[in-house]
Amino acid sequence: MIPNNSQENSHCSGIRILLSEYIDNTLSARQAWDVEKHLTNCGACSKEVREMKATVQLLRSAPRFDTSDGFMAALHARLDTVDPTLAAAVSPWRRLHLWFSNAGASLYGSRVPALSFGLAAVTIALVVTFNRPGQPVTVAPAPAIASDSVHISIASSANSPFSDPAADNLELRSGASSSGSTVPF
Amino acid sequence: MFALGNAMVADTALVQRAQANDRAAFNEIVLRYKSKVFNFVHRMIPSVQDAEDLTQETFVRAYTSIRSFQSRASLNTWLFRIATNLCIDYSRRTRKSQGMVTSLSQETDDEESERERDIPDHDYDPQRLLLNKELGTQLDRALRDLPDKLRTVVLLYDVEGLPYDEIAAIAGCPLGTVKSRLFNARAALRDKLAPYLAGRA
Repeated sequence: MIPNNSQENSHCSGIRILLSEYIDNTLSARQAWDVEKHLTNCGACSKEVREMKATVQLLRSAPRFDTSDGFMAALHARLDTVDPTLAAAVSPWRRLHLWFSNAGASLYGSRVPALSFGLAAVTIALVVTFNRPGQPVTVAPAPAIASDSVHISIASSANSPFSDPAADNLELRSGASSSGSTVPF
Repeated sequence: MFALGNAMVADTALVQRAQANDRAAFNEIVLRYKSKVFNFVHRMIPSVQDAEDLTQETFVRAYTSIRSFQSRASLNTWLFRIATNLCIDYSRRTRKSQGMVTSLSQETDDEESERERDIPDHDYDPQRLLLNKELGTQLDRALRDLPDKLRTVVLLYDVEGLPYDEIAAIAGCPLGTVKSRLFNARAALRDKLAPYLAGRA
Protein backbone atom coordinates (compact mmCIF):
# COMPACT_ATOMS: atom_id res chain seq x y z
CA MET A 1 0.00 0.00 0.00
CA ILE A 2 1.28 3.45 -0.93
CA PRO A 3 0.81 5.97 1.89
CA ASN A 4 -0.99 9.22 1.20
CA ASN A 5 0.94 12.50 1.06
CA SER A 6 0.44 13.61 4.66
CA GLN A 7 1.46 10.21 6.04
CA GLU A 8 4.43 10.13 3.69
CA ASN A 9 5.62 13.60 4.65
CA SER A 10 5.49 12.98 8.39
CA HIS A 11 7.30 9.68 7.99
CA CYS A 12 9.80 11.15 5.53
CA SER A 13 10.97 13.86 7.92
CA GLY A 14 11.82 11.22 10.52
CA ILE A 15 13.64 9.09 7.99
CA ARG A 16 15.38 11.89 6.10
CA ILE A 17 17.59 12.89 9.04
CA LEU A 18 18.94 9.32 9.07
CA LEU A 19 19.88 9.20 5.41
CA SER A 20 23.38 10.62 5.85
CA GLU A 21 24.26 7.98 8.44
CA TYR A 22 22.47 5.36 6.35
CA ILE A 23 24.86 6.13 3.49
CA ASP A 24 27.82 5.85 5.88
CA ASN A 25 26.48 2.55 7.21
CA THR A 26 26.70 3.82 10.79
CA LEU A 27 23.07 3.29 11.80
CA SER A 28 21.99 0.55 14.15
CA ALA A 29 20.53 -2.55 12.50
CA ARG A 30 17.02 -1.52 13.59
CA GLN A 31 17.39 2.02 12.21
CA ALA A 32 18.85 0.74 8.93
CA TRP A 33 15.95 -1.69 8.61
CA ASP A 34 13.45 1.16 9.20
CA VAL A 35 15.14 3.28 6.52
CA GLU A 36 15.23 0.46 3.98
CA LYS A 37 11.60 -0.38 4.64
CA HIS A 38 10.67 3.26 4.06
CA LEU A 39 12.78 3.55 0.91
CA THR A 40 10.94 0.67 -0.76
CA ASN A 41 7.72 2.71 -0.55
CA CYS A 42 8.97 6.28 -0.95
CA GLY A 43 10.23 7.49 -4.32
CA ALA A 44 11.19 10.94 -3.00
CA CYS A 45 13.45 9.60 -0.26
CA SER A 46 14.93 6.99 -2.62
CA LYS A 47 15.83 9.78 -5.03
CA GLU A 48 17.33 11.77 -2.18
CA VAL A 49 19.49 8.83 -1.14
CA ARG A 50 20.74 8.32 -4.70
CA GLU A 51 21.61 12.00 -5.07
CA MET A 52 23.25 12.19 -1.66
CA LYS A 53 25.34 9.10 -2.47
CA ALA A 54 26.41 10.72 -5.75
CA THR A 55 27.32 13.91 -3.86
CA VAL A 56 29.41 11.97 -1.36
CA GLN A 57 31.08 10.07 -4.19
CA LEU A 58 31.88 13.37 -5.89
CA LEU A 59 33.45 14.73 -2.71
CA ARG A 60 35.50 11.58 -2.16
CA SER A 61 36.80 11.56 -5.71
CA ALA A 62 37.59 15.29 -5.76
CA PRO A 63 41.14 16.03 -6.94
CA ARG A 64 43.64 16.56 -4.15
CA PHE A 65 45.91 19.57 -3.93
CA ASP A 66 49.53 19.49 -2.86
CA THR A 67 51.99 22.12 -1.73
CA SER A 68 54.33 23.85 -4.12
CA ASP A 69 57.94 22.75 -4.59
CA GLY A 70 59.19 25.65 -2.48
CA PHE A 71 56.99 24.86 0.50
CA MET A 72 59.56 23.09 2.67
CA ALA A 73 62.31 25.65 2.03
CA ALA A 74 59.96 28.53 2.87
CA LEU A 75 58.72 26.76 6.01
CA HIS A 76 62.23 26.07 7.29
CA ALA A 77 63.17 29.68 6.64
CA ARG A 78 60.29 30.66 8.92
CA LEU A 79 61.18 28.03 11.52
CA ASP A 80 64.74 29.35 11.60
CA THR A 81 63.38 32.59 13.03
CA VAL A 82 61.48 30.79 15.78
CA ASP A 83 62.92 29.41 18.99
CA PRO A 84 60.62 26.63 20.19
CA THR A 85 62.08 26.74 23.70
CA LEU A 86 61.05 30.39 24.07
CA ALA A 87 57.90 30.36 22.01
CA ALA A 88 56.29 27.62 24.04
CA ALA A 89 55.98 30.06 26.98
CA VAL A 90 55.12 27.34 29.46
CA SER A 91 55.13 28.40 33.11
CA PRO A 92 57.33 26.50 35.63
CA TRP A 93 54.24 25.04 37.34
CA ARG A 94 52.88 23.99 33.97
CA ARG A 95 56.22 22.34 33.11
CA LEU A 96 56.15 20.47 36.43
CA HIS A 97 52.61 19.33 35.73
CA LEU A 98 53.56 18.22 32.21
CA TRP A 99 56.59 16.36 33.54
CA PHE A 100 54.47 14.43 36.02
CA SER A 101 51.77 13.93 33.42
CA ASN A 102 54.19 12.44 30.92
CA ALA A 103 55.80 10.25 33.57
CA GLY A 104 52.41 9.09 34.80
CA ALA A 105 51.14 8.47 31.28
CA SER A 106 54.14 6.40 30.35
CA LEU A 107 53.81 4.27 33.49
CA TYR A 108 50.09 3.87 33.89
CA GLY A 109 48.31 5.23 30.82
CA SER A 110 46.75 8.54 29.99
CA ARG A 111 44.11 8.73 32.75
CA VAL A 112 46.53 8.78 35.67
CA PRO A 113 48.69 11.89 35.22
CA ALA A 114 46.61 14.15 37.47
CA LEU A 115 46.57 11.51 40.19
CA SER A 116 50.33 10.94 39.91
CA PHE A 117 50.86 14.68 40.21
CA GLY A 118 48.72 14.80 43.33
CA LEU A 119 50.41 11.77 44.90
CA ALA A 120 53.82 13.29 44.21
CA ALA A 121 52.68 16.45 45.98
CA VAL A 122 51.57 14.38 48.99
CA THR A 123 54.91 12.58 49.06
CA ILE A 124 56.87 15.82 48.96
CA ALA A 125 54.71 17.32 51.71
CA LEU A 126 55.24 14.26 53.93
CA VAL A 127 59.00 14.25 53.36
CA VAL A 128 59.24 17.91 54.26
CA THR A 129 57.12 17.39 57.38
CA PHE A 130 58.98 14.34 58.72
CA ASN A 131 62.50 15.55 57.91
CA ARG A 132 62.47 18.52 60.31
CA PRO A 133 65.08 17.72 63.00
CA GLY A 134 63.97 18.30 66.57
CA GLN A 135 60.37 19.04 65.64
CA PRO A 136 57.44 16.99 66.88
CA VAL A 137 55.79 14.99 64.16
CA THR A 138 52.58 16.69 63.00
CA VAL A 139 50.92 15.06 60.05
CA ALA A 140 47.54 16.71 59.81
CA PRO A 141 48.03 20.01 57.89
CA ALA A 142 50.20 18.85 55.00
CA PRO A 143 48.13 15.82 53.91
CA ALA A 144 45.00 17.92 54.14
CA ILE A 145 46.42 20.45 51.69
CA ALA A 146 47.84 17.72 49.48
CA SER A 147 44.57 15.86 49.58
CA ASP A 148 42.82 19.01 48.39
CA SER A 149 45.27 19.27 45.53
CA VAL A 150 44.52 15.69 44.54
CA HIS A 151 40.81 16.44 44.54
CA ILE A 152 41.31 19.60 42.56
CA SER A 153 43.49 17.80 40.02
CA ILE A 154 40.99 14.99 39.59
CA ALA A 155 38.08 17.41 39.42
CA SER A 156 39.76 19.56 36.79
CA SER A 157 40.58 16.47 34.75
CA ALA A 158 36.98 15.36 34.92
CA ASN A 159 35.77 18.77 33.84
CA SER A 160 37.99 18.82 30.77
CA PRO A 161 38.94 15.25 29.92
CA PHE A 162 40.10 16.29 26.49
CA SER A 163 41.85 19.49 27.36
CA ASP A 164 44.56 20.31 24.87
CA PRO A 165 47.08 22.59 26.51
CA ALA A 166 48.99 22.99 23.28
CA ALA A 167 45.95 24.22 21.45
CA ASP A 168 45.00 26.37 24.43
CA ASN A 169 48.37 28.04 24.24
CA LEU A 170 47.88 28.94 20.64
CA GLU A 171 45.45 31.76 21.32
CA LEU A 172 44.12 31.35 17.83
CA ARG A 173 40.80 32.91 18.55
CA SER A 174 40.78 36.55 19.38
CA GLY A 175 38.39 37.37 22.16
CA ALA A 176 37.90 33.76 23.20
CA SER A 177 38.03 34.54 26.89
CA SER A 178 34.31 34.13 27.45
CA SER A 179 34.22 30.46 26.53
CA GLY A 180 37.83 29.61 27.29
CA SER A 181 37.99 27.44 24.19
CA THR A 182 40.30 27.85 21.22
CA VAL A 183 37.75 26.31 18.93
CA PRO A 184 35.56 29.05 17.51
CA PHE A 185 32.39 27.00 17.20
CA MET B 1 65.03 6.20 11.18
CA PHE B 2 61.31 6.84 11.31
CA ALA B 3 59.97 3.91 9.32
CA LEU B 4 58.25 2.16 12.19
CA GLY B 5 55.63 -0.48 11.59
CA ASN B 6 52.79 1.31 13.39
CA ALA B 7 52.03 4.84 12.20
CA MET B 8 50.63 5.87 15.61
CA VAL B 9 53.77 4.69 17.41
CA ALA B 10 55.91 6.44 14.84
CA ASP B 11 54.02 9.69 15.37
CA THR B 12 54.49 9.44 19.13
CA ALA B 13 58.19 8.81 18.72
CA LEU B 14 58.51 11.73 16.32
CA VAL B 15 56.68 14.04 18.70
CA GLN B 16 58.93 13.04 21.61
CA ARG B 17 62.01 13.73 19.52
CA ALA B 18 60.61 17.02 18.26
CA GLN B 19 59.84 18.00 21.86
CA ALA B 20 63.55 17.51 22.55
CA ASN B 21 64.35 20.06 19.80
CA ASP B 22 65.08 17.45 17.14
CA ARG B 23 64.46 19.44 13.99
CA ALA B 24 64.80 16.39 11.75
CA ALA B 25 61.94 14.72 13.60
CA PHE B 26 59.76 17.79 13.17
CA ASN B 27 60.72 17.86 9.49
CA GLU B 28 59.46 14.29 9.21
CA ILE B 29 56.16 15.33 10.82
CA VAL B 30 55.79 18.09 8.24
CA LEU B 31 56.56 15.75 5.37
CA ARG B 32 54.03 13.28 6.69
CA TYR B 33 51.15 15.72 7.12
CA LYS B 34 51.71 18.69 4.82
CA SER B 35 49.72 17.31 1.88
CA LYS B 36 46.72 16.37 4.02
CA VAL B 37 46.74 19.71 5.81
CA PHE B 38 47.22 21.69 2.61
CA ASN B 39 44.45 19.85 0.77
CA PHE B 40 42.04 20.62 3.61
CA VAL B 41 43.16 24.24 3.94
CA HIS B 42 42.94 24.83 0.19
CA ARG B 43 39.39 23.46 0.14
CA MET B 44 38.59 25.88 2.96
CA ILE B 45 40.57 28.80 1.47
CA PRO B 46 40.37 29.24 -2.31
CA SER B 47 43.56 31.29 -2.76
CA VAL B 48 46.51 28.98 -3.39
CA GLN B 49 48.99 31.43 -1.89
CA ASP B 50 46.92 32.08 1.21
CA ALA B 51 46.26 28.36 1.63
CA GLU B 52 49.98 27.67 1.49
CA ASP B 53 50.70 30.48 3.95
CA LEU B 54 48.09 29.10 6.35
CA THR B 55 49.51 25.60 6.00
CA GLN B 56 52.94 26.97 6.87
CA GLU B 57 51.44 28.87 9.80
CA THR B 58 49.86 25.62 11.00
CA PHE B 59 53.27 23.97 11.18
CA VAL B 60 54.96 27.02 12.68
CA ARG B 61 52.39 27.00 15.48
CA ALA B 62 52.78 23.28 15.90
CA TYR B 63 56.56 23.77 16.12
CA THR B 64 56.30 26.46 18.76
CA SER B 65 53.76 24.49 20.81
CA ILE B 66 55.12 20.99 20.36
CA ARG B 67 56.51 20.89 23.91
CA SER B 68 53.09 21.27 25.43
CA PHE B 69 51.48 18.71 23.13
CA GLN B 70 50.24 15.68 25.01
CA SER B 71 49.38 12.46 23.32
CA ARG B 72 45.78 12.43 24.51
CA ALA B 73 44.82 13.54 21.01
CA SER B 74 46.46 12.17 17.90
CA LEU B 75 48.94 14.33 16.05
CA ASN B 76 46.56 14.28 13.09
CA THR B 77 43.71 15.67 15.21
CA TRP B 78 45.95 18.32 16.75
CA LEU B 79 47.27 19.57 13.40
CA PHE B 80 43.80 19.67 11.83
CA ARG B 81 42.52 21.53 14.87
CA ILE B 82 45.19 24.20 14.47
CA ALA B 83 44.52 24.39 10.71
CA THR B 84 40.75 24.59 11.19
CA ASN B 85 41.04 27.47 13.65
CA LEU B 86 43.41 29.33 11.33
CA CYS B 87 41.07 28.84 8.36
CA ILE B 88 38.03 30.07 10.26
CA ASP B 89 39.89 33.09 11.59
CA TYR B 90 41.07 33.83 8.04
CA SER B 91 37.56 33.39 6.69
CA ARG B 92 36.15 35.82 9.23
CA ARG B 93 38.82 38.40 8.49
CA THR B 94 38.28 38.04 4.76
CA ARG B 95 34.52 38.36 5.02
CA LYS B 96 34.92 41.50 7.08
CA SER B 97 37.34 43.09 4.64
CA GLN B 98 35.93 41.86 1.33
CA GLY B 99 32.37 40.87 2.01
CA MET B 100 32.76 37.32 0.69
CA VAL B 101 35.40 34.64 0.27
CA THR B 102 36.42 33.99 -3.32
CA SER B 103 35.73 30.64 -4.95
CA LEU B 104 38.02 27.85 -5.98
CA SER B 105 36.38 28.16 -9.37
CA GLN B 106 36.92 31.91 -9.62
CA GLU B 107 39.20 33.13 -12.39
CA THR B 108 42.62 34.24 -11.22
CA ASP B 109 45.19 36.55 -12.75
CA ASP B 110 48.00 34.31 -11.61
CA GLU B 111 48.82 31.81 -14.33
CA GLU B 112 50.74 29.57 -11.94
CA SER B 113 47.85 29.49 -9.50
CA GLU B 114 45.47 28.62 -12.29
CA ARG B 115 47.69 25.77 -13.43
CA GLU B 116 47.89 24.34 -9.89
CA ARG B 117 44.12 24.31 -9.62
CA ASP B 118 43.63 22.38 -12.83
CA ILE B 119 41.91 19.09 -12.19
CA PRO B 120 44.06 16.17 -13.32
CA ASP B 121 41.97 13.86 -15.49
CA HIS B 122 43.36 11.15 -17.71
CA ASP B 123 40.06 10.53 -19.45
CA TYR B 124 40.35 11.89 -22.96
CA ASP B 125 36.64 11.87 -23.76
CA PRO B 126 36.06 15.61 -24.37
CA GLN B 127 32.39 15.53 -23.40
CA ARG B 128 33.07 13.70 -20.18
CA LEU B 129 36.03 15.98 -19.50
CA LEU B 130 33.78 18.99 -19.88
CA LEU B 131 31.13 17.44 -17.63
CA ASN B 132 33.68 16.61 -14.94
CA LYS B 133 35.12 20.10 -15.07
CA GLU B 134 31.67 21.63 -14.83
CA LEU B 135 30.80 19.32 -11.95
CA GLY B 136 34.06 20.21 -10.19
CA THR B 137 33.29 23.89 -10.64
CA GLN B 138 29.81 23.44 -9.24
CA LEU B 139 31.17 21.45 -6.32
CA ASP B 140 33.65 24.21 -5.51
CA ARG B 141 30.86 26.76 -5.70
CA ALA B 142 28.52 24.72 -3.51
CA LEU B 143 31.27 24.17 -0.93
CA ARG B 144 32.08 27.87 -0.94
CA ASP B 145 28.48 28.71 -0.14
CA LEU B 146 28.35 26.44 2.91
CA PRO B 147 28.78 28.02 6.35
CA ASP B 148 32.26 27.42 7.80
CA LYS B 149 30.98 24.97 10.41
CA LEU B 150 29.30 22.75 7.83
CA ARG B 151 32.14 23.01 5.33
CA THR B 152 34.70 22.02 7.96
CA VAL B 153 32.82 18.87 8.93
CA VAL B 154 32.02 17.70 5.41
CA LEU B 155 35.61 18.26 4.25
CA LEU B 156 37.08 16.46 7.24
CA TYR B 157 34.71 13.50 6.85
CA ASP B 158 34.17 13.05 3.14
CA VAL B 159 37.41 14.45 1.73
CA GLU B 160 39.95 13.72 4.48
CA GLY B 161 38.25 10.57 5.73
CA LEU B 162 38.47 11.37 9.45
CA PRO B 163 36.13 9.51 11.85
CA TYR B 164 33.30 11.25 13.71
CA ASP B 165 35.11 11.32 17.06
CA GLU B 166 38.23 12.96 15.65
CA ILE B 167 36.10 15.59 13.93
CA ALA B 168 34.28 16.23 17.20
CA ALA B 169 37.65 16.84 18.87
CA ILE B 170 38.79 19.13 16.07
CA ALA B 171 35.56 21.12 15.92
CA GLY B 172 35.11 21.12 19.70
CA CYS B 173 31.52 19.92 19.56
CA PRO B 174 29.60 16.78 20.56
CA LEU B 175 29.42 13.74 18.29
CA GLY B 176 25.72 14.34 17.62
CA THR B 177 26.50 17.84 16.40
CA VAL B 178 29.08 16.45 13.97
CA LYS B 179 26.47 14.07 12.56
CA SER B 180 23.82 16.73 12.18
CA ARG B 181 26.30 19.15 10.57
CA LEU B 182 27.37 16.43 8.18
CA PHE B 183 23.76 15.71 7.25
CA ASN B 184 22.99 19.41 6.75
CA ALA B 185 26.14 19.94 4.68
CA ARG B 186 25.44 16.97 2.43
CA ALA B 187 21.80 17.96 2.04
CA ALA B 188 22.79 21.50 1.07
CA LEU B 189 25.38 20.23 -1.42
CA ARG B 190 22.87 17.76 -2.88
CA ASP B 191 20.30 20.53 -3.34
CA LYS B 192 22.79 22.62 -5.32
CA LEU B 193 24.32 19.77 -7.30
CA ALA B 194 21.14 17.82 -8.07
CA PRO B 195 20.77 19.25 -11.60
CA TYR B 196 24.32 18.13 -12.41
CA LEU B 197 24.04 14.69 -10.83
CA ALA B 198 21.41 13.32 -13.20
CA GLY B 199 23.79 10.93 -14.90
CA ARG B 200 25.42 9.79 -11.65
CA ALA B 201 22.51 9.37 -9.23
